[in-house]
Amino acid sequence: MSAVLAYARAGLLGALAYRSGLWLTLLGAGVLVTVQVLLWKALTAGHPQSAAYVLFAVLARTYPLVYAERAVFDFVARRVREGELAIELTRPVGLAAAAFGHGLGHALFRALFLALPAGLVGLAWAWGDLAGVDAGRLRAFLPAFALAFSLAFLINHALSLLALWIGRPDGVLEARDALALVLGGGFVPLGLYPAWLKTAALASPFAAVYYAPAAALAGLEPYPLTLQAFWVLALALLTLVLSRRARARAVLAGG
Amino acid sequence: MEQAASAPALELTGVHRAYRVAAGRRGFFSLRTRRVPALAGVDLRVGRGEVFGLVGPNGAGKSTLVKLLTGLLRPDAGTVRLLGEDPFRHRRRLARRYGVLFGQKSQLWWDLPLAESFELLRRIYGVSRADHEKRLERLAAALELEPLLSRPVRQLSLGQRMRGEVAAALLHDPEVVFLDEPTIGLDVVAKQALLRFLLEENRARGTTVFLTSHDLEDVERLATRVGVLAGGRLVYQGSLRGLTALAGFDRVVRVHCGPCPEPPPPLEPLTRAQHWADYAFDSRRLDPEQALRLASGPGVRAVEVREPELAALIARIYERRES
Amino acid sequence: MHTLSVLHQLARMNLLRALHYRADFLAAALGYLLSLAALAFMMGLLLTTFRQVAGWGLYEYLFLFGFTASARALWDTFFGGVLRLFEEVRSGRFDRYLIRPSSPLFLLLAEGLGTDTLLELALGLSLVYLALGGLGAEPSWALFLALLASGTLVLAALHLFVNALAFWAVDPNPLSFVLWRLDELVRYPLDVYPGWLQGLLTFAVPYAFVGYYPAAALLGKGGVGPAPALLAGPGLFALALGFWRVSLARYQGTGS
Repeated sequence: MSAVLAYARAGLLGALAYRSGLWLTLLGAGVLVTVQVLLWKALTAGHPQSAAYVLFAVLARTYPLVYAERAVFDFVARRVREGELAIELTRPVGLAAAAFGHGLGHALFRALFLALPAGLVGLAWAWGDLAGVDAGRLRAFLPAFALAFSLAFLINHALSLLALWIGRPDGVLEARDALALVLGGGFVPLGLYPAWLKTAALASPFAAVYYAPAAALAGLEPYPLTLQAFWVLALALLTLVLSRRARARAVLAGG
Repeated sequence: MEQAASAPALELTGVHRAYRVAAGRRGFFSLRTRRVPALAGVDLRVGRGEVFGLVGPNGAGKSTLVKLLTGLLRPDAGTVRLLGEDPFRHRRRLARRYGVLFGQKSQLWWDLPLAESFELLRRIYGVSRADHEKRLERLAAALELEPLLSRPVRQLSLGQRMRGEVAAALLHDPEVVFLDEPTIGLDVVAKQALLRFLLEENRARGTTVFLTSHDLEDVERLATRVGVLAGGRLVYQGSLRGLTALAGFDRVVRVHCGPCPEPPPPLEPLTRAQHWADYAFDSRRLDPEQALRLASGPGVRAVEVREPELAALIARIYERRES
Repeated sequence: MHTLSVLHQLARMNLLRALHYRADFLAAALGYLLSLAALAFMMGLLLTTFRQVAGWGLYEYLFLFGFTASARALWDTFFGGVLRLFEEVRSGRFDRYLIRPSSPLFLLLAEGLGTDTLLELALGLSLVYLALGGLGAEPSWALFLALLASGTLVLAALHLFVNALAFWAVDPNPLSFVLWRLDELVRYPLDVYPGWLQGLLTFAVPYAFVGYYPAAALLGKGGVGPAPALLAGPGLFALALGFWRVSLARYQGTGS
């Protein structure tokens, strides 16, 4: 446990070291949130559920920043690229645990310095739409977010292990982004999907990551907690299998 | 546009040039800079058909001089003339008449065959296909490039690549060619071959060559005249022989010994190695026979009198300046 | 030096190089195309549900999206090379352009011709075609091409200006990053934004002239006519070119 925290501390310090690029990333995040809020205000003007949709838009653009997806992915991908993975495998901490700790450190940094300010910017535009948020919704949000965070980690860690087999890891990320956009329900809430697309989205882990927490807090059609838990288990299993294979391959390739 | 035969190919008069150098950060984006003088009053003249070798310590302004002569930079003060014209103002027109080789920066396309880069240059310089083929044939033969023309540049060894770069610089039949560190990183064999070629090119076609190199053997072999850059000025400009006056010696006694004794004056210690030592002297003050006698002694196996190497002369010139 | 002949050779060389690394190029092109298509699809989904956003319906939006994507693809093809400027200047390799009897800007852009942008252009134009079909509109082809060219030139002007800062020993990457973020802003019709933001995107950083104003003119929206959109491209590019010249002269006059 303390080992994971050690990695978290290292991750946090690493994020802080590169903070000079922070204000640009923050500017970018601020712009994206602003665009989403204004878009949804214009789209849903006069619609009875306008407030819920606008709030959803702010949330869906904000809390995913905390997932630190790039940091989790790079933990393994960078080591593979530079041939240092074998070193990491000799440590007394499991690779997944180390990657998780690393991601946690980055998540803390991003929560504080990215998600929070960006969220405030979004809410400044959508102040009036906060009205429906109550304790009940918060109680639904917290477990949904926790599960989504874990799932995001598992997905990105599993993808990073694929870097051992695929030469261009960036292509993997682009594919993930495209899939997340269409199947994640973060840009367009699941409730607005046509039936066939909704089925496809529910048959993928992405909606559990990007849609579930926002829906809970904004009061849109809820995503079943049990389904989220199922996806976490499924991805954990997949990651386990991939880890075994990756370990064998890493040692073989001397990477 | 024929100039008078006596008009110099290259000319610098009273040229000053300072550099901006990074010194800390200012604000988010930019660097704070300060001005460091690189050239402080340089007068230089190179005649047509000459091979001029410029010598100087690292970062002393050799590259700056080349950039001034090729119109890449403007002088802060003074005038620069290339083939009688201002290379900065008439850059595009004059560019056709000179070629440049940057030893450390490649001008060729890394992933594609040599021939493609050459074809690109042919079109950029507006050379007709017929002329291009003739010249390429000649250069490829002289530089042994024929088997390499269809190979991607990244598959070539450094020596092969440098030969390609030289060909690239000469393809459009320039009147003046600038060579900035042409033999850097080359092994002995490759270097000798390249120097042989450059010598032949200068003799056969009368191309004016401006050479800057750390490797003083390049300068020794090729140069008809030499310039020494120190402290932003040209402290010497003339024949190789004339350098001896500036250095204060024109002969060297090589003593084969081990360990070698301290030389008696007026012999001055110059270089010391495991099994030999060089002592310098001025043959006008000291007769070579006397020098041989002075240098002999117990533990000395053999003595001989030689002409000094350029490197030794240059080193001594710099030493003297510093004191 | 015959410009077209050099351009032809450099186009050829860029293509050869792309073919050599074709796996990489294909992967990058497809990946980007997928994300573009995904975005168009999702926005289409939204607009079929909510009918319109700030007066722009589904087909009007698709037209805007396709037009902007086409302009971006054209920019990437012909002007994308400008993004290499900072690295070339920093490493000193930019000098190799200055020793040639040619315009350094031309050589910089020509050596960086885009080869994987054809798919993006095809997608953009297909969406435009689709949208025009849905709207039953038939704008003049000449006007369309002229406005597309103008939009491309606006984009070229913005990036040229920002990257020319390399000559002032300034890293243009942060500003370049901001510029790409603005690209996100103009994916949607300007009418969505409050007045001050519209003003910013029209006068301060004229990104709106890349796609919005030309598209609006072609669709008969806004009531201003195509003149501003037609003039913006050449006008802004001329300004950016002037800044490039000044920057280059400074680099050579007092360069590092």
